[in-house]
Amino acid sequence: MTSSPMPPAALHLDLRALAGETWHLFASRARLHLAAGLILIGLSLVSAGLLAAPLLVGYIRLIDRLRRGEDGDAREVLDGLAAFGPAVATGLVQVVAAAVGTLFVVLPGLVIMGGTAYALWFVALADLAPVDAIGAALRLAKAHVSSLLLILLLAAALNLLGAMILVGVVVSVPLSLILVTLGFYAMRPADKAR
Amino acid sequence: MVGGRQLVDLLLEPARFWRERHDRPQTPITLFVETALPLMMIRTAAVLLRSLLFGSLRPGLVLAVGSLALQLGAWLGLALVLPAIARQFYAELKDRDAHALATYASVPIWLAGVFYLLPEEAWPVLLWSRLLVLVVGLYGLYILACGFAALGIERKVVPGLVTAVGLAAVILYVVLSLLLAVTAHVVIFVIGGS
Repeated sequence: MTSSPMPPAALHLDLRALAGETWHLFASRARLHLAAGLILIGLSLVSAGLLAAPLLVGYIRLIDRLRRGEDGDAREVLDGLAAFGPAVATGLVQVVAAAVGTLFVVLPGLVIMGGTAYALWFVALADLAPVDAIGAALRLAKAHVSSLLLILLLAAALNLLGAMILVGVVVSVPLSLILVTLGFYAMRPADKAR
Repeated sequence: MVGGRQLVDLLLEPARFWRERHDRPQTPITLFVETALPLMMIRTAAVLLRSLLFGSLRPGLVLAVGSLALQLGAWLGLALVLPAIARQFYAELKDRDAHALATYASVPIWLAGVFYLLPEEAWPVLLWSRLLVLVVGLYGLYILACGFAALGIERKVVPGLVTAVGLAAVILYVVLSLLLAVTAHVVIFVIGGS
């Protein structure tokens, strides 16, 4: 991993290019993404959310490999279970912090969730320990608050649309995860060539 | 605080209002304390008053606080995401301008908070009151367009920019409404109904 310093200038996040790249990455291996999304959603539900974070780490790594033009298989989502400890710890810290924040009229909880949104990406793509990952996610959010919020809003809109037709989440979850992963690299361009 | 005269100017002659404001920019904190918060209190008070009239104090308090949190979250979210949306149209917005745009464009929907006084028990009244809120709130898009023009943003990108900001505001309101509605119901269930 490269620990690039945050650029001080405002980042120009080209949403049109990002959306195009997201769709291309999804459409070029649609079946794989649908299967990966089903594994992620299904096993997360069955395990009452316990496996959600490790499986998410597995899927983020799979998206990253596909982004670099490598081959992949939907079952590689399960490889994230190898990072069970750091992934669950990171997810748990996020959930507990957000729950405590939510007690103060919801908004602080949302700020915590938004601020640490990329913590699992740092676990998956930079192999950071939970505390470091959360710290890195907070720094990223602080440096690019506007772009981060735009990406999260788009991901939320995709999943709201998906949830309206119930099975739509099988499409919206992979699409939004690809979008958020590509957004991660857009905000950390030094890591893109990794 | 923005006085009645200034509110009338904003609503009737937004272009002139923006030209005058442009020469006297306000900090986000001043905007929040003097304009946003007092106007957010209209809906908050309306929700509380309606609940008091129907004899449900505790749920009324929860809904009123939730209503304030919703407006606060939507205002802050909009102000934060505006620069990233503007950059999609090759326009640069300073934080101060983004907060001013989010504040003054939200004035109509904050004023429309008075319609929350209407009872919700009869569905036609509920439907019409919410439609009225929406219609009045849409005027904020015109105020926004005048604001972009006053900031010197190219005329040809303004319609697209206003549409994008409108969509972002809708997503923000929907996401926050869902989260706050769930939380409010849990809190009302825990503290009891009356």
